[in-house]
Amino acid sequence: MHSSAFFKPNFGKLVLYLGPCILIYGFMVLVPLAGGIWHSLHTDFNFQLRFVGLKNYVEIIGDSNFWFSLRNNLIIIGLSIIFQIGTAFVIAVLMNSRLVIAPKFLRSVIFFPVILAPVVVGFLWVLIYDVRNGLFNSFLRSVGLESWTQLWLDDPNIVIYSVTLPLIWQFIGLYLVIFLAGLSSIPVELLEAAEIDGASVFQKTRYITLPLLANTWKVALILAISGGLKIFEHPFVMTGGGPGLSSTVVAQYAYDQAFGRLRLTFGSAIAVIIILLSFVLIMLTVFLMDNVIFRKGDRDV
Amino acid sequence: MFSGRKSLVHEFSPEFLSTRGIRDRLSWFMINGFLILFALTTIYPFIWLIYNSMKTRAEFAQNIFSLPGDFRLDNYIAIFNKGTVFPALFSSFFNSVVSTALVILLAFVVAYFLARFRFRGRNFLYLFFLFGLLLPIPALLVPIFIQFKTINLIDTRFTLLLPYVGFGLSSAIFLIESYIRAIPLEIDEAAVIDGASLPMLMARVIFPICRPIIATVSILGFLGHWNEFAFALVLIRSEVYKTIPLWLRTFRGEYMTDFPGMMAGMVIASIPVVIVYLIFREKVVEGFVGGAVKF
Repeated sequence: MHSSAFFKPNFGKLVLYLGPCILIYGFMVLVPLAGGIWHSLHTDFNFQLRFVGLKNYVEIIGDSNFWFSLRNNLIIIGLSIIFQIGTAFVIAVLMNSRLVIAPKFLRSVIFFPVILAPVVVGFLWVLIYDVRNGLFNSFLRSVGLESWTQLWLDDPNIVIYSVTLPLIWQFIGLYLVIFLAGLSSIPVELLEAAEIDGASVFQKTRYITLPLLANTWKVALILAISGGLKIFEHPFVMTGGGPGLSSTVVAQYAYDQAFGRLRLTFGSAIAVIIILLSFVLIMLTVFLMDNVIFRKGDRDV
Repeated sequence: MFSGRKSLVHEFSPEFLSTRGIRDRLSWFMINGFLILFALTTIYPFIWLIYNSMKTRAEFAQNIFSLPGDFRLDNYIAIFNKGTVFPALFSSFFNSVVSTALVILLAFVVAYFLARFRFRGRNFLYLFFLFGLLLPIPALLVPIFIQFKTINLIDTRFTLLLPYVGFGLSSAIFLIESYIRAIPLEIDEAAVIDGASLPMLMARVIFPICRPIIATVSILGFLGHWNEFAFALVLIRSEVYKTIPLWLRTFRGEYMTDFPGMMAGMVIASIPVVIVYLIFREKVVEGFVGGAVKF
C-alpha cells in the first residue's frame, strides 16, 4: 500500500511534526503520572518532602474513610449499570422499532442533558431537591404525599442515591445514542427473517439483538465503570461530599485530603490508587465480557 | 420525521381492522406515550429553569410550576449590571476557542502521520495516545496541581490551555485518524507526484477533505472546554481568569436564597452550549458516539 518512499519519514521530520504534540501530551499526562507516583512515596510536612516509601499506601489501606468513599463509587457504578444502561437499552430497542413517530427528534431531546455543564446539572438538581421550593417536594405536596417529602441532600441515609440520580439522568442519552448506533449495524433482514419465523419481540431481543450488541455492551460498561470512578464534579457542587462523608467519592476524598488538609502527597497516593483501580476494573470488564458473558459461540448467530 | 410517518401507513393501513391491527395500534400508543413521557423528564428540568429565571422571587415562592405572569428579564439585567459575568465569559471563550484550535492543529498532524506514514514506533505512539483516554482525569488533579505549583504555572491567562489541549488530544487524534484512513491513498500520491510538499499536501489537500470530522472535533472540544470545572477549580484563583463554571459557583454562594436569580445565572452559563447543540445536534451525537466506540 505505502509504495511511495514519501511515506517513510526520517527522524528529523518525525520530531518536527510530532514533537510539539508529544511534548504537550507528555507534559499533561505522563509527567503528572510520574510526579504523582514520586510524590506518593513522600510526606510533605511543612512543605518539606521526605521519603517514606509505601507509608501513604499502607495508611490508605487501613483508612476506613477511603474504603467508605470507594463504596460510594461502587454504589454509583452499580446503579448506573442497572438504571442508566438498562433504561438506555430498553429505550433504544423501542426507538428502533418502526412504530416510533419522530425517532430523531426524541433522540435529540433525550440526549440534550449530556451537553450541559456538570456544574449546571449539579446546581439544577440542588434546586430540584430543595426542601421547600424544589420540584420533588413541591410535586409530592401537591399530590397529597406530604409524608413522602425528603431532605434529599441532607439525609445521610439517602444522599448517595440523591447524588447518583442526576448522573443517571444526565447521561442516559449518551448510552442511548451508543446503543442506537450499535442497533443500526444489525441487518434488518435478520430481524425480519426471525419475525417471519414467528419470533416474539422478546425472543428477537434475546437471541439476535443482545448477542450482536456484545461490543456495544462492552463499550457501555467500560464507560459506566471508568466514569463511575471519575465522578467528581456533580457531588462536589451538590453536597461537597457531605453530610459528613456520606456522599464522598474517591476523587472528592483525594481533593479533601490534598487541598482541605494540605496533605498533597497523601492525595497523590490516593490518585495513584484510583488510576490503578480504574485500569484493573476496565481490564476485568473486558475479560469478563469476552470470555464469560459473551462467549465466542454465542456471537455466531 | 417523514420516514416515521411513512412507516405508520405501512404498519397500519393493510390490516387496520384485524386483531393484529388493533394490537399494533395499542403498542403504538404505549411505545410512543412512554417515549414522549421519558423525553419530557429529560427536558422539563431545563425548561423549568428557563421560565422560572424570568419570575420575581415572590412569584416563584408562590408557585414553582406555573409560568411567569409576564416574562421579565430583570434577573438577567441584574447579573449583567453587576458585571462579574463578563470576565468569566471572556475567559471561557478564550480557553475554549484557543485550546480547541490548538487541539485541531496538533491532532490533525499526528493523525495524518499515524494514518499514512510507516515508521518505527508508530504502534507505540498509537497506544501512547490511547492511554490518555483511559486515565481517570480527576485522579490527576492533585499531581497536576503540584506540578503547576512547582513551575509557577498556577493562575495565569494561559494556565488552563495546557490541560485542555493535553487531554483533548487523544480523542481528537483517534477521530481524525480513522477519518483519514478512509480517504484513498491515491489522492495523497497524486498530490505528491504533482510536486506537493508535505505541509502543502496536509493543509491544502487532506485538511479540506477532513472538514466534516474537524467540525465534529471542534464542536466537541468547544462543549467540553466550556463546561470544564475540575482543572479550573484547582488551577485558577483570580477573578479575571475564572471561567464560567467557577463564576457560577461563586455566584451561587451569593444567591443562596434567590432561586430565580440563580436560575438566570445557570441559563447564561448554558446559552453557548445550547446554541451549539441546537445548530449541530447531529454532529454532536455523531462525535460522542465516535469517541465512545473508540474504546
